[in-house]
Amino acid sequence: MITSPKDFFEEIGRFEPISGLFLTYTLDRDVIEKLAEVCPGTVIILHDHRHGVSLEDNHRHKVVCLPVAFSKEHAQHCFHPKLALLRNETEAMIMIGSANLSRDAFVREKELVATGRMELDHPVCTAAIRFLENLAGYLVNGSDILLDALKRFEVRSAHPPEDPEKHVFFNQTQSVFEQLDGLLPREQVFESIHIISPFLPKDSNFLEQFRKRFVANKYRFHLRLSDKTTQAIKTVFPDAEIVSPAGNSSFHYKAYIFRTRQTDYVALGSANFTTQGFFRSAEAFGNMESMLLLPLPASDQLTTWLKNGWKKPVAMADVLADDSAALVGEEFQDTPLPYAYAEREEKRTRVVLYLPESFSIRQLSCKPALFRDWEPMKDLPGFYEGYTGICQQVVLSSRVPKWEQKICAFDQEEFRNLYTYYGDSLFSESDKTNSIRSKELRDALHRSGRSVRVGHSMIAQRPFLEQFFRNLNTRLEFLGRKRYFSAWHESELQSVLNAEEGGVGCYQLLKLLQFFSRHPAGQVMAQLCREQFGKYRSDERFRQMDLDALLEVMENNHA
Amino acid sequence: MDFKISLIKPVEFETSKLDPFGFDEYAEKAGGEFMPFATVARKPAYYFFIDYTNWLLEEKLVEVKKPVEYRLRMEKLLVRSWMYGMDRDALRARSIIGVSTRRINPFKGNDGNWVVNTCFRLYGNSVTQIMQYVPEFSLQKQEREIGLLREFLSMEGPLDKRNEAKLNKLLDQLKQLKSRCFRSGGELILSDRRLFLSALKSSIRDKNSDSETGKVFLSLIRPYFEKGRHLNRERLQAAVLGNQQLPFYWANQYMAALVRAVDSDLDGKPSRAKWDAFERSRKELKARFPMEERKLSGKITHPSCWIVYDSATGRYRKGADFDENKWNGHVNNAGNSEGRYHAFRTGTLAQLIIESGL
Repeated sequence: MITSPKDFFEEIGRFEPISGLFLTYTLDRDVIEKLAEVCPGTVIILHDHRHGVSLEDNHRHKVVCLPVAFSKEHAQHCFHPKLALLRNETEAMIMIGSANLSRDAFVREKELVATGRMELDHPVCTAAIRFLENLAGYLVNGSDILLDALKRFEVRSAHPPEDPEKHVFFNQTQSVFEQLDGLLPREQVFESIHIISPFLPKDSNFLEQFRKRFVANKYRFHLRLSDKTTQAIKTVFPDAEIVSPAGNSSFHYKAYIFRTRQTDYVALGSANFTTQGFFRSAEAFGNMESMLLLPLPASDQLTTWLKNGWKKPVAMADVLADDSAALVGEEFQDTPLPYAYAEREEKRTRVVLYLPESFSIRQLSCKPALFRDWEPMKDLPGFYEGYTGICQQVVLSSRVPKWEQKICAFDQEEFRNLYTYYGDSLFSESDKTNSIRSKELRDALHRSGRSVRVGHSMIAQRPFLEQFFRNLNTRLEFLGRKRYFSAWHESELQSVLNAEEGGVGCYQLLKLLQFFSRHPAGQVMAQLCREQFGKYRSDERFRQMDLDALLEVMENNHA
Repeated sequence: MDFKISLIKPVEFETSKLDPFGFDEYAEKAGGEFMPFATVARKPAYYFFIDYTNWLLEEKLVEVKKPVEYRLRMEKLLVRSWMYGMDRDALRARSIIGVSTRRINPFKGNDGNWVVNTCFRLYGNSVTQIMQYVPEFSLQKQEREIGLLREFLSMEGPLDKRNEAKLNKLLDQLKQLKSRCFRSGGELILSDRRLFLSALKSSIRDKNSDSETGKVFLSLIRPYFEKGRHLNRERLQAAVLGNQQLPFYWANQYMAALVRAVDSDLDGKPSRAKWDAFERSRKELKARFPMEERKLSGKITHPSCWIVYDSATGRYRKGADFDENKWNGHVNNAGNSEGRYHAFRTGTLAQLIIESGL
C-alpha cells in the first residue's frame, strides 16, 4: 500500500514508544535531538563506527549511541541498515527504508520508508529482534544495553500470529540477491522488473546471474542520471530502459519491484544495487543491510507511482557508459571525525575515544584527568579506552588542532530506570508501601508505618499481612491490563519468586499462578510459577498440606 | 498487519538553508566552538523562558502528556504575550520567532501554522547552556502564574471567539502578575538583563579560557560587553571576523574563494586564476587551522545541491536542480567588500549583548 508522504518524526511521536531502537549508517546531532523530543521513552542508536558523534546532551540518560565495528578483515564494510524498531504499551512498530539518521536524509534526499504496526510476537518483529541480538557481538560497547532492551521487546507466546508473506530480512549470511532468489516465485517470467537505486555495480558477472535468475519481459533502471549508466549494466541489459527523476528532484531510496499479472513483489530497504550492497552477504565482505519484501496485489496505484515524478524512459542504446564515482560510489562518505563516548561505572567513568587513522591529535587533554594514558582497544582499530573519576561530563580537547568535545557521561542504571518510569516494569513501585516484595514492604512499613484513624486518634500500626494482601490484589489488577509479557518481565517475575519463601511466598506464588494461567498471554509466566512451586514441596513447614491439590484448585478453579 | 510505503516528507532543521557545500552548517558549528548559544534565540528572554518551561516539566508542576505539544503551546503563548497590547507589526524585525500576520493559536501545538523545527532548536541544549550560570531562578516560585499556566494547558481547541476571549483574559492576568517571561515586547526587567549579561559573559569565558585561540577571542570581545546597549554591531563583527589569529577570517577567505572559483566554472569563464587563489587560501587555512580545513574540505567534490562536479573535466557545472537566485546569494556573500562570507555567530552575540545591555 503506497500512501502520501509522511513526516518520519510525527509518525514516531504518534506511536508514543516506550523504547526505540534505530539502525543507521550515518547520524547527526540535530536528528538525535529531534528523536529525543518525539520519543517519550528510551532511544538506542546503532551506527557505523566511522560516523559517530559525541553526545553533549544525552537527555537525562535517555539516548545512547552504540557504534558497530567489524573485525580488521571486514574493516572496509559499512554497517548500512536503516531500520527503526519501536514498542509502546501494546504493540510494536517497524520502519524500514533508505533514510539514515542524518540531516541530509530529512532535508535534501528523497527517501522511502515502509511503516508497519504489529503484535509484539509477529514474525517480522521476531526476525528483527534476532538480527539485533546477533549485532550485539559487533558493538564497540553497550552490548548489555542492547540485549536488555531486546528482552523488553521479546514476547514468547504459545500461538504467534502467522504472516508468511511479509519478510524482513538481513544479509548476514546470505546476500540480498540470494534471499530474493529464495523468496520470489521460481520459473516465472515477470512482466517487468524495476530497479530503483542511486548506485550501480561495475561487476558484470553478478548482473548476469541476476538476469538469469529473474527473467522479465522488460527491465527498467531508475537512476539519478538519464544519460549515463555503468558499462556492466549496458553490456548485460542492452534491451533495458533508463528513467530518471523529473524536474530537479533526486532520490536516495532503493527499491526492487518484480511485477506479475496478479502480484507486485516490492523489496525495499537499505541495499543499493551494487556488489557490496546487493550481491554480497556481510560474511562475504559485503555491507550489512536491512530489507523488506512485500507482495502487493497488482494495482494501477503502483503503475502510477512508477510513472509520476519520473521522466520518459530512454533506451539503453542512447545512454553513455560511465563508471565514474557518481554512479558506482556506494554512499558519500564524509571524512571520519573523532568522537567519544563516556559511561559511568561504579567508581569511575569509562571513556571510549574513536580517532580515525588519518587523524592526528597532539596533546589530547581530558577533564577530569585520566587515571592512566589511553589504551588501544583490542581488535578495534581507531578505538582507545581510558578511565577517569566519577563525573557528569567529560571534556576532551586538543590545542593543535583546536578540537573540543564535551561528552555527557551515560548512566546505565538511570537508563534502565526509565523503562520503569514509562510503566514497563511489572512489580516495581516508587512507593514501597505498595510493594509485593515482602522484604521491601516490611522495611517501608517499618520506616513509615501505616496510620489508622480511630475516633479522634491516629493509631500507627504496621499491618504487614493486610497490606501485603491488598498490594497483591492491586498489583494483579494492574497486570490484568497488560497485553503481553516480555522476556524481561519473565526475569522480573523470576526474581520476585526467588526472593520469597514461607507462607507469604507460597500464597503469592499461587495467586500469581492463578492469574497467569487465566491470562491469554501468560502461559510462559505461569510455567515459571509452576517450576518455582517445587521449593515449597520440599519445605518441611508445608508437609501437612496437600500442595498439589492446592495447586490444582488455584490453576483450575476460577473462583 | 499492513505495511504502508511512503516517501519521507522533508523536514526543516533550523540551519538547513540549502547550500551546496554545507557552509552554513559548518559555520554554525564553528561559531558554537567559541559562542555557546543558539542563533535561533536572539532575545535573552527566550533563555529564561526555556529554563522556566523545562523546570515546570521536570518538577511535574504541569500535567503534560506530550512534551512536544506542551513546548509548542508554551512557545506560542509566549509570543502572544509579547504581542499583547502592541501593534501587529510592532515586533517585526525584533528577533522574535514566529511573529507573523497569521493568527497564532496557542491552544494547539502543531497546527501547520508554526515553524515547528524552530521549536526543536529553541529547546535545544545550546539554549540551556547559558542558564547554568544564572543563580537560583526566582521566577520558579510564582505559584499564581503556574496555576494560570496549568489552566491554559487544560484548554484545547480552535482559536474561536470564546477561546480568544479566554486567552485575552489569561494574558491580562499574566500582565497583572507582572510576569517576568510573559510580558509585552519580550523585554527583560533590569535585574534579569544584568543576570543574563553576566551569564553570557561567564559561559563564553569558560568555553574559551583553555585554548590560545579562545583567549584571543575573549580579549577581542571583552570591551564590547562594557558597551551594552550602545554596542556597535558592525564593529564587533569586524573585530572578530577580521582577526587573523582566529579561524573565522581564514575560513571566510576559503569559502569565498571557493564560491568565486566555482562561479567562474559555472559561467564557463576562465577560472584558473580563481582556483589558484582558492588553493592559496586552502593552504593558509590548513597551515593555521588544519581541523577547520578538514571539516570544510569534506563536501567540496560532492556538492549536495544545485551544482555537479565533473571529475573528467575537473570543472563544476550546473545541476538539474540549479537555483540561480540562491546561488547568487552565495556569490554576493563571497564578493562583499569586507571579505566576510559568513558571520558565524557574531551577529547573535552582538544582538544578545545589546538586548541585555544596561
